[in-house]
Amino acid sequence: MNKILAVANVVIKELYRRKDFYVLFILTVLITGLAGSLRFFDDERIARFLKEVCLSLIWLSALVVAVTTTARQIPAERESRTIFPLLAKPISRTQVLLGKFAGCWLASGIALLVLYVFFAIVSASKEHAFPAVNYVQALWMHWQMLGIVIAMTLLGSIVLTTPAANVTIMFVVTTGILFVGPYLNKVAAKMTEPSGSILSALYFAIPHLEFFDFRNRIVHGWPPVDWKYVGAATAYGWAYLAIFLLAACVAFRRKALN
Amino acid sequence: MRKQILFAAFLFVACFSLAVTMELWRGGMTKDAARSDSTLAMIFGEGRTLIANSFIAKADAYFHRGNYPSIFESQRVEENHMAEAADDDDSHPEEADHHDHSEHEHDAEHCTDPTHSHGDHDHEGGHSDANGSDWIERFGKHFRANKHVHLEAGEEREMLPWLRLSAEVDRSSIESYTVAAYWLRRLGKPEEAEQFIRSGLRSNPQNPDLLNELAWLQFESRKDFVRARNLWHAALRRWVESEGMKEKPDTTVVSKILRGLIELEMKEERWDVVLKYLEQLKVFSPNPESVQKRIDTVREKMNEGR
Repeated sequence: MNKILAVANVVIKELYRRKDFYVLFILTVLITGLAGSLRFFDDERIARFLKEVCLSLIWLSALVVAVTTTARQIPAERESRTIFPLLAKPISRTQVLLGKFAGCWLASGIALLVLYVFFAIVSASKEHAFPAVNYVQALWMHWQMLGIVIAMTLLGSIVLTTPAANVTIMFVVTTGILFVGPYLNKVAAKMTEPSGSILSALYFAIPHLEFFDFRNRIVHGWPPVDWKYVGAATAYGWAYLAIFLLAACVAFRRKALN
Repeated sequence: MRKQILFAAFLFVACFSLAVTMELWRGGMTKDAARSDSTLAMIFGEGRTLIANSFIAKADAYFHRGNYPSIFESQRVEENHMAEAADDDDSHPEEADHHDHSEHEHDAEHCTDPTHSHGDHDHEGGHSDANGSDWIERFGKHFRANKHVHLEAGEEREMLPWLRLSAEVDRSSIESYTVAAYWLRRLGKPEEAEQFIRSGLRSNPQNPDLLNELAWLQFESRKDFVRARNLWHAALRRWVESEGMKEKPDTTVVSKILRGLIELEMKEERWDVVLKYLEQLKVFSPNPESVQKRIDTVREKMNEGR
């Protein structure tokens, strides 16, 4: 466990040494500030538009941080050949991979925390309300979603040849699942066989990331979700996370590093 | 020397051709800019109608507090409540000539309880079966906004930014102007409503729907009946000019205009004029029987008066 945490610690340090997150955070702040400065029909109480803009930027920024940080971990180690001295130490390939995953997930969590604190401040300044439970649930679920994405990206970084291809594919897959995933069964129902069955199987096979998207609830002020459903969704997320990590570990163990 | 002169002449011709081409291109740009007169419209080009419509849908989603069907889902029940609510309010309370709202008579006016849900008529799974067809859909229901509620008590202002953006993107999107103006009126902002309609009229001169909205504003918010009547008459004239000759004219606008005129004349107790407009409305109404009932009622009133 200590070995995994040691690798994770290096990844977290990498996040705050690199400028990616700072750039994305500043962009989020700037665009939110710009959206906040817009006046619609001289009504200062309009808040949901700003909340939606800010949350969308947070989702985009968090996804960029998670995918780009994860995608370069293994390829960078291989390219710079630092993977060899790392594996020369008493640490297994699985531990390296789990350490990388833990580091990326924790780093994304830290980034997410900063972004949500910013969102809470913006929202409170507009609406004079602080629904803490809603924010905690949204943050938690968002983090679980990023966990699945990070595990997927880690698998992609081993299977795919270049980090650029991995990043592109992960963005397409993640946004595809988020926007189209929930409706695949509806589309499948209107299709002929065998494409309908294939699409239906895909619908049941993909991780449904939309469960973790609480943006609408936060923007429109819906009450918190029952914790038992949050727990069930977390278990669902961890199941997919475990599947992707297991596949990544298997692939990494069989992978020739030179 | 001869080569140099020829080369200079070639350069001159090339420069002249380039200048003419650039001028034509610049002229085209200016013309386009004048036509669209909006930065957003220029950016989005011909796709702006699509984007404007998606912004209107977004405003409607806000009206339902985020509970809205996606493009993959059927929109059989809920077309555009936000706009329908606006349309409904234009009709007189006694007016039975509603659009066919048999499935959803719960417009913004009728929805007074903030937690008011509509039982089985929830939007879960985008208006699909209440419980969803598979476990993923059923489970996902717990995380989505799944109760059918409308914005109210001044919260309607939250959808205004999207309507504004929609109008910015596509200046010919009449619905953006009329719906926003309606809600601005309801929110006690007649000045902003008038400004917005007038900006719509600048881009769509003499549009009957916008004139009708302006007339409602004069009638309801300003209580200026004379101006309201003039505007409705102008709207009616414009509708006849634009739609009257068509084989299948759009009768929604003319119905709204006639309803406005009927309401106005009823306020002024000019029953013979009310009767005239009701007869006209009967022709366009999807529910002529209810209009006939009103005609009979007005006739009774007139007989009592005599």
